[in-house]
Amino acid sequence: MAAAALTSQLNALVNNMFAMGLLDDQFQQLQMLQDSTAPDFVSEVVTLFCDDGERIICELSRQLEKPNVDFDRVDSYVHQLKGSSASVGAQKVKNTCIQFREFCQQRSRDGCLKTLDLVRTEFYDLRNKFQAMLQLEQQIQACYPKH
Amino acid sequence: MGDEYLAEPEDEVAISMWPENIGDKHQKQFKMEKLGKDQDALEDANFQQKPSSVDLNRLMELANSEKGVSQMQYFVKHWEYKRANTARLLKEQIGLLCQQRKEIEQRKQQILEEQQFQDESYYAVKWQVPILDEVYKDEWKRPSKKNDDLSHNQELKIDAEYDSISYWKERAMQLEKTLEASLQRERSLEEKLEENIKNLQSHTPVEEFSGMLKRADYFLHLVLQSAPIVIAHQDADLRYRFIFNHFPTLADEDVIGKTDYEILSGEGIEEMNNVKKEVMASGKATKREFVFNTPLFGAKTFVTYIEPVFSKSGETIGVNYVAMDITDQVTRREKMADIRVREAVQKAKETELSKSLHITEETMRAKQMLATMSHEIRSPLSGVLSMAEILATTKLDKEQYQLLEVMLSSGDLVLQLINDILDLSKVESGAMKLEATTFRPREVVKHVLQTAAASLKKELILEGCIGDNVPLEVTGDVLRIRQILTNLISNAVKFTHEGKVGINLHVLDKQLPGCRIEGGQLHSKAHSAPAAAAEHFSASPRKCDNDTLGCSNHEDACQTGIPSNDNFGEHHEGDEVVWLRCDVYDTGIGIPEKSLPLLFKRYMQASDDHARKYGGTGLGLAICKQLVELMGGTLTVVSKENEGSTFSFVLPCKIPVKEDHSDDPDDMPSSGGDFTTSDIEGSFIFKPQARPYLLTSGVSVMNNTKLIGGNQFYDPPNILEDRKPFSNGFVLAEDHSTNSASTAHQSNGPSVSRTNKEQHDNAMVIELNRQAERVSSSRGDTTSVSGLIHDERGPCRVHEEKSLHKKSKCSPSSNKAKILLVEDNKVNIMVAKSMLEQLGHGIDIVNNGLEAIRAIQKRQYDIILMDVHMPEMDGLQATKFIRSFENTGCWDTSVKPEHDQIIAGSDNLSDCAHMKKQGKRVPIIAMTANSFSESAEECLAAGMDSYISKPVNFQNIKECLQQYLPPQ
Repeated sequence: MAAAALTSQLNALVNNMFAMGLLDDQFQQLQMLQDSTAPDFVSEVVTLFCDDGERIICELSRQLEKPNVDFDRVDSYVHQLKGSSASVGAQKVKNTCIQFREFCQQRSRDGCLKTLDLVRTEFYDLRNKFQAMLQLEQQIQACYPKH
Repeated sequence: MGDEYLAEPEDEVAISMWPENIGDKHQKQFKMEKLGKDQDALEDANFQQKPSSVDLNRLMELANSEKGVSQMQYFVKHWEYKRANTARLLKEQIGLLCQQRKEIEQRKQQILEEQQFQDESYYAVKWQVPILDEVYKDEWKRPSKKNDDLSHNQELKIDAEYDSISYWKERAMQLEKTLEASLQRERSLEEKLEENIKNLQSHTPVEEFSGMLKRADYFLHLVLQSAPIVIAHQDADLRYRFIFNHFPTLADEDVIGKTDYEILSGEGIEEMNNVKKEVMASGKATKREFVFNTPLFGAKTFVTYIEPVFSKSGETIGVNYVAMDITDQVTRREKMADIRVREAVQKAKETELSKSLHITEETMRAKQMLATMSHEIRSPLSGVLSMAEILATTKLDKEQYQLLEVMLSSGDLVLQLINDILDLSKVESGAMKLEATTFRPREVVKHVLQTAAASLKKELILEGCIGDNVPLEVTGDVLRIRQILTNLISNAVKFTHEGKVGINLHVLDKQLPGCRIEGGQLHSKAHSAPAAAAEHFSASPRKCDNDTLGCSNHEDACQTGIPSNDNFGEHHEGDEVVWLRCDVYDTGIGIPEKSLPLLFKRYMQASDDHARKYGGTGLGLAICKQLVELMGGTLTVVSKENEGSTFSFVLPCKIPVKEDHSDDPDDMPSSGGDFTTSDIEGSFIFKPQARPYLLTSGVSVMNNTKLIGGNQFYDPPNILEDRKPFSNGFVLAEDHSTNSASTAHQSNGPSVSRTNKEQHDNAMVIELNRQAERVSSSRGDTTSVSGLIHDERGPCRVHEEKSLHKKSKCSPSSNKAKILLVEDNKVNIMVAKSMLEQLGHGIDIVNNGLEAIRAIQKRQYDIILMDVHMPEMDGLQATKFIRSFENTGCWDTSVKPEHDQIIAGSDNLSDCAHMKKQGKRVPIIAMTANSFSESAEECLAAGMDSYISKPVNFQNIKECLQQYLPPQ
């Protein structure tokens, strides 16, 4: 019973993420890829995305703090983040990255800093939700062996 | 100076009359010479001097004017000065004469003294006389040097004998006479002097003035003789009183006393006279330009200075004017102005150009914005639809299922609408591309009507009538045509409250206008390709689409481009073009005539009332028109208020030719049979009472075929055909109800998928699979492609799909291809890897272009999935290197394999494989992030075969692999 409650909680959470536009259908593709041969696929990808994203965001803020910002470098970091977020279906982060790249191309440091803040907020928001999701999944999995 | 005056007494007055300053400035000799030589100048002067050239009475009047007075004063001053000068000269002369007189007196005295002495010596020394006489003679002569002429007759003739008494007497008398003559001479000189003085006194200033004026006149003429000016004076009535014109076209007599009007006629005269009057009225001088065009001297421009002339009492008594011909200058000025205008225009053009450039840039930006926007809008919608589809796979009761059906179809409609709105923008920005696919016009019409019937909420009859000469299949952008039809039908339904709405489709034969076949005639000939039609459609349009392979080829080739473009022609040489005319008519409220012009404008509706009553954006017809025009057709409307409207569009469509139709004689008859049935199906009617049965029919389909929602998406006509036999109320004239497997197999796409569907019958089609088909179904014929592939793969494929659904991995060894994934993003790698593995392929992963090249040098791959944007070496560069190696057989020096690698490579590869590697072109698929820095064209230009947009999903990766992996 606990598993069912947790599952519905999990579903609600995921649906909420879809509804809020945090995720798009690419995430469903991830979910589809998860099967018995790769039971932790989503978790693995999401964890990788979170770690990678965190690293990139740190790197970005470090780059933008420099007196002479290397926008090409910033751009390539943003490109990476955009690729990662597109792959996991993190729609909101991805869209912000698109904006970010525009600012990079305009060589606008202020624009970049502003978008970085936005990306950061969105990313950590998403990460928290992902973590909650993964926790729920773990709990559900923990329930299953008993059945 | 004095001598001169004495020597030439007659010039004295004249010369002194020259104004001192003028005389000094211009050397006298030059002036005199010029006057003397230049007879013309003199003549001109004389001519002007003639009393007829001036009105002298008028001059007197003028002299009374202020100007005249001041001039008088100048004259008087000048005269006084002259007079003083003359007095001085006379005094000098008097002094001279006095001196002469003194000399004469002296001489006289001397003579008398000598005479006395001679008288005395006569008595003393008589013989000395002759000598003395001689001396005397000389002495006498000396003082009269200047009066030689007067004293030359002094030769004395003495008849008396020398030295006698009589001699001396005679001599004394003669001397007396001489003396007297001398005295007389002296007197006459004095007289002359007195006369001179008298003369001087009698010289009045008037004479002098006239002389002066005369000189000034000469002088002025000299100066002005070649000046292109006219000087004139006119009186208060604007009659000419004086004119100077160096190039007179009229004799002065013709001018004096006349007005401008009497002399000239034509353009500019009136204006000039008005200005003169104005000047007289205002008393202010003015300078103006007048353009004349008179018969007398043609078109000329004069700049004219006009000044008023006042009398002493301050009244205006006339005008003076000086006019100068500036025609040439004006011409030049006009030329300059013209050049300046042209320059300005040029500049304006440049500004305009830069503006339009700016607009273009704006448009580009807007396009970019649109690309982002489309994603923003579509993504959440696709989320909703995906959820609905997932919902469809769950256990639902019939009602829920029906609701879900509606939900999905509406959702699809919205998605379609968004696409359309974006398409409209695309059309306008010139980025719209049409897809050329083969489709069946009958089915399109039927489908559109069915869709309309399904959502019909009114008591309307929907009918469709298709001309028998309409080809079974044509090539065009079916999606757009369907969009146009749907739009027009939904409009018709919206504005029709009773009666009927229908579609008429027939061929408009532009090439052979006389060759139109009437319905009755054609019915009989419908089975065997009708002679007349065959003539026209050189390859029979009835030819079935039994060759699905050809179809798929064709589909590949015709992804983009309008129907008439070349790449289409490559595959279907000798295509016939037919003009299809489609009328969508209704018996609705009609359109008022005044609203017709606004009808196709975007966001415009017939009236505000309509907008309120019927809703809508007013975009529909605008899109229709744009689309029709894009396809090379025209959209027109005929309407009568309260009676109905008919929207007609004419489109050129190609008739596809199946080349290998004759090679396949077995299939021909059966397929021919198949199409004969559908061929005849030329009209459909959907009556209002049919509607209540719709739901029932749907349910029956559900029960009987156990289809699930997704299938209905991609082939509604088929489903409907399947349904009809059961229980629906649709009256379908001559329904095509063949259900046999063989026909299905040989018919086109939808039927094939049905076969496939039958094989799957009880299988739960997983969402992934369904999605793929849904998307492909939206492109007409693509359905047949995917259907074919399903068919081809057979049971294995089915198995695979099933297993996929069950989320268990199935890796058929036969399918195992070697894939190289070149990607630098860890997350992307993970996702792509997982997908490829699930599809049963083995993959190698490298992180950049250089590594990819190293990997290729070591091993052979069946396909390469290449990220574009990567560190060290990007995908484009790597692709170029790989292609260059494939063409030349050796690597570019910068990426040449290291020595040990070659050895390692040769260890791994057999010679044969190596050769193969060299000759074979490995498919390279770009994975683009859809950002503007990574254009698809660039990828293709670099030598890539195709591209999939990121993020990769099952569908696009699967399609791509199916297309490019060699069949096992």
